[in-house]
Amino acid sequence: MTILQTLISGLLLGGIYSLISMGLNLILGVVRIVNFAHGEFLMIAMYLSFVFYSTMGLDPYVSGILVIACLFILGLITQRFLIQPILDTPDTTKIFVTLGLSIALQNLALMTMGANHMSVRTSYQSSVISIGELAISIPRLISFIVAISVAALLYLFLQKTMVGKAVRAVSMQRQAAHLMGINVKKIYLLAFGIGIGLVGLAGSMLTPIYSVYPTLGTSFVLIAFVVVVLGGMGSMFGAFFGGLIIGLVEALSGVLLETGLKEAVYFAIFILVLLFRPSGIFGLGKGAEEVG
Amino acid sequence: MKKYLSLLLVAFLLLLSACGSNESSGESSDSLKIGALFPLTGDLALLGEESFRGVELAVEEFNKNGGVNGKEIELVKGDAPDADAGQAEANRLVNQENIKAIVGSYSSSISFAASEVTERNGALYWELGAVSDSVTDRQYKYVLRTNPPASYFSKVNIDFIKEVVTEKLGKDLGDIKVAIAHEDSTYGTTIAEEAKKLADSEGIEIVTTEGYSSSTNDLSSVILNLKNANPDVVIAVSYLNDAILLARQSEELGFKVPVFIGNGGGHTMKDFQDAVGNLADGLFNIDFPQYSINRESTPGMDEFLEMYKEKYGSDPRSGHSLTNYMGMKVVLDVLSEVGEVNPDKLKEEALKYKAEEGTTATGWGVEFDPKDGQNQKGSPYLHQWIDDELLTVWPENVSVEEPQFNK
Amino acid sequence: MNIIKSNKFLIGLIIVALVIPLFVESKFHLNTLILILMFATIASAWNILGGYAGQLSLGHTIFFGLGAYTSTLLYLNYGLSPWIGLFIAAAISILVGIFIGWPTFRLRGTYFSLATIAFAEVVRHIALYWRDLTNGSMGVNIRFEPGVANLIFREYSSYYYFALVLFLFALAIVYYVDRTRIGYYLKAIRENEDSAATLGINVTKYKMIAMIMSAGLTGIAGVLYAQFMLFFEPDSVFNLNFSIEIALITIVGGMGTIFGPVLGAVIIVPLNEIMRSSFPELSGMNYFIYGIALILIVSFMPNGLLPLLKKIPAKFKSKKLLDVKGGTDIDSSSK
Repeated sequence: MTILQTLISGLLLGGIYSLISMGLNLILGVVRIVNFAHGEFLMIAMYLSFVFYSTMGLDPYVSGILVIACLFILGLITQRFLIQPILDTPDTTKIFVTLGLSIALQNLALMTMGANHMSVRTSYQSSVISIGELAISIPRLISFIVAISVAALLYLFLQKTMVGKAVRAVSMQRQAAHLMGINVKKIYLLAFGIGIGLVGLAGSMLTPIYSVYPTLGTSFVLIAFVVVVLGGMGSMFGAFFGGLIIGLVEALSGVLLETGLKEAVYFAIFILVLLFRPSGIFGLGKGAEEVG
Repeated sequence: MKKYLSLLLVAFLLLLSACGSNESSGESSDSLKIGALFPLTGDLALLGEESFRGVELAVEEFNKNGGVNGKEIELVKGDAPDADAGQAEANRLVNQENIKAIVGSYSSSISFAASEVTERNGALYWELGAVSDSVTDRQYKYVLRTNPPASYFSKVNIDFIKEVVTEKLGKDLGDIKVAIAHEDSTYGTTIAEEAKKLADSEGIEIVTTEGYSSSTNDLSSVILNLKNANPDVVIAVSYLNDAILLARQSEELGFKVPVFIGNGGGHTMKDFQDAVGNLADGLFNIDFPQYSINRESTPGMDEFLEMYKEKYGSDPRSGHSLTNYMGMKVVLDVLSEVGEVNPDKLKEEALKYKAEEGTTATGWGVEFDPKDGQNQKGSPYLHQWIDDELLTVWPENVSVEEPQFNK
Repeated sequence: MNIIKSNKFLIGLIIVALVIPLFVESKFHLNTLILILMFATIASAWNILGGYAGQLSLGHTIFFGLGAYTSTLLYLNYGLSPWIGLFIAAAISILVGIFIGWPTFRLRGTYFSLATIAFAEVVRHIALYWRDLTNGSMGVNIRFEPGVANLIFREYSSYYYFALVLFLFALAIVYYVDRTRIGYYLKAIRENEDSAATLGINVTKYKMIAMIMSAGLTGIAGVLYAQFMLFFEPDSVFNLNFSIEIALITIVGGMGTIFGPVLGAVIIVPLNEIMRSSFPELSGMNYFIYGIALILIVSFMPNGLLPLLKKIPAKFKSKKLLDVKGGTDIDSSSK
């Protein structure tokens, strides 16, 4: 029974990780930026969700659309004024610009919101669906379903629409896409906006589950990297399944091994994947060896 | 051109911050300077700041009442988000600002790092809030501590189980199964280790010990392990993030335990209650004194609350401010006797300083152990969340309510 | 011509460094100088792998922490003098460096960085978990018993000289790398790994040489840190922020240059000190400014300050050249 419950908990946790990682995946796949400030965008989204709740009484699931819009715009601004100018610089610059952004945003939150942990208290926050002895948390289930839907929608968007195809073209061959008359800069802008918008969605889904505080992002960002690399860069389903795998690994290693070692276990898996299948499990063949 | 422009901009920013630092050290020759070292940014900022507020209030009150022979006390603030910063800041305070006594620090790691500096430089390190036993176990010459250490927390856990829980659950001490869940920094680890040792010596069975990182996103595995162990009592040592997760996920996974004892950190905070609502009801929590407490044994608490509200515009977020306030008052009393910030004289005077239990704002007495500088007359109390309030329920001399057992 | 010049400069610098403690009274300033030397040493070590070979490790905290733990545990458990522990620490750091480098050198760019972060996280969690060995999060505490054999000094100036020797050692290694074939090979690998391989450079071998030097030096610096701080815990020596700071120091100074890391340390270490005591009224403002400054510095000066400083005299020079030759402008600042 415990194992079954662990699997359920792990899958639900994995849904959360997937949700957070999809935006990162899109940005990494298209713009080729490892965004170290990804967690801070999540933190901002959750603060927004909290503010909508506490000032206007909006339920996080309702205010989600507003949060996504805000984050989308924030993403556009970030891309245009921070990322665009450094696209052709060495890796160090890219890494340290997003790291600097992460530090600045974290402390901006500390200055404006204080160090308190803020929580939204909904009537359903710890409601569960019980099947025999097994329990499924409703807010976690909702975020899981949203994660699946988003992965599917994004897949359709990238495969079926013209814009989506352009995005994929840019992610595969920047130069060629440019020659084909695709406005690469615009695609970057769009991808970054959507990526950060997705973080907004993740934030809305997480607000009923976690409390928000300035350093919240740090506990998610490294996991998001692990998920993206594991699943395979540029593959939405990769990010989805990568999230599930890491969620399962985390929950299982906590029960079967030792709780104190679960982080060590998923980072070890991350290293193994990097070494033996650098393109990730669902990667399109381009992986760590070819692109940087 | 852009490069030079940005260079200028950076230089400007630095200048700005340099000015920011200069403002703080507006010196006046008629003041006695004391360093205050707390984590005011980073992960520990929340309770670090809360702790600092207590010190600030004590000093303000003291200065209003005339200070030491007309000399005011000036607090020189140091921000130490982690141990390295603690070392560097202690160094700045002692060797640059020429300060001979530092109070601090909420976090044991910061306390360790900073007291290495003060000890080497012959300055006094007066701990008001960090709980690791090793801070005083090192028997440093210039270290004093007013607040009770982790082992005192563990002792209250075990004493409570021994004296109250056994009777209420109708079980013998040997039949009671205790599980421990703790975050794995110094704070959680020391309390857990000490509790294990004590439990062993009392013949109490520890069925499982779960250590986890307080920044974790998921405690389902911890809870499932606890559930499997089927304990009568859970002793938890958590910060805020994990305390909230523990409560919410326990509910989700249907884990209920007859007696849940938190140990300060997260389980004390208003933020915790705000987050989990009625899930907090009935949880026990061992911590520094909080505010729903028998006022007869904590003289001066009402005045403290009034001052706090006036200065910060809200009620205290936890008892950390009170504990630091009480500790700082002891520091200031001792300082008044000495009349100058002289580490040797302060230490000597501190060892002579005695206060009976029930005469301070925390209800603690004061008597420092001449060997290691630890105050032996302080103790954490047992609280319980009842109707959204954290009431002191044990021991009886400070309690306002009986401990309640629903099942 | 250039070498002689820079040698003179170097000798002057060393002489100044040697006499500084005679003039600096304040322990605070000496403490800052020790930290500058320590960080300059580690940044120089990082520079060999990150700056010359272009392998942006964000896991150097591993070697730093291993060094600190190795010598300290040997000292505490077996009474082994840290002087000997120093060499064992270096050896273990090198071994672990090889172990990490061997598989990860296949990875490019940011992926290498991510892999090194992951290694560092694994090591940190193991150090936290393996309490019997490391004492877990409670950290290890070296008793303050001054003595040359214990490598613990009462006087800050002794630490200063120890740190200075260590730094000069690191500088000598970087100097050697910069002026020999190794440096050229490493730079070739950094600029284009495939071309370097095509030209017959054994890419993995030279990356490994860089790793060995880098890891060993960082391990030794970890010993200095342990002996100076006398207390540390997994979160302080296996800290991602530490790895970031080391890289940052090198980047600000100038990657792949001999003196870049020192310049970076001279700027960043005091800056951190100033920052910490800035804006006491508004928690977070100091690091907010730090973050913004970081963004500005790396976006507008991706090559660091050193090349920029070199340009200033070059401007005058190039004017002279113009005057003499009256023709083409020779930009002597470019490589």
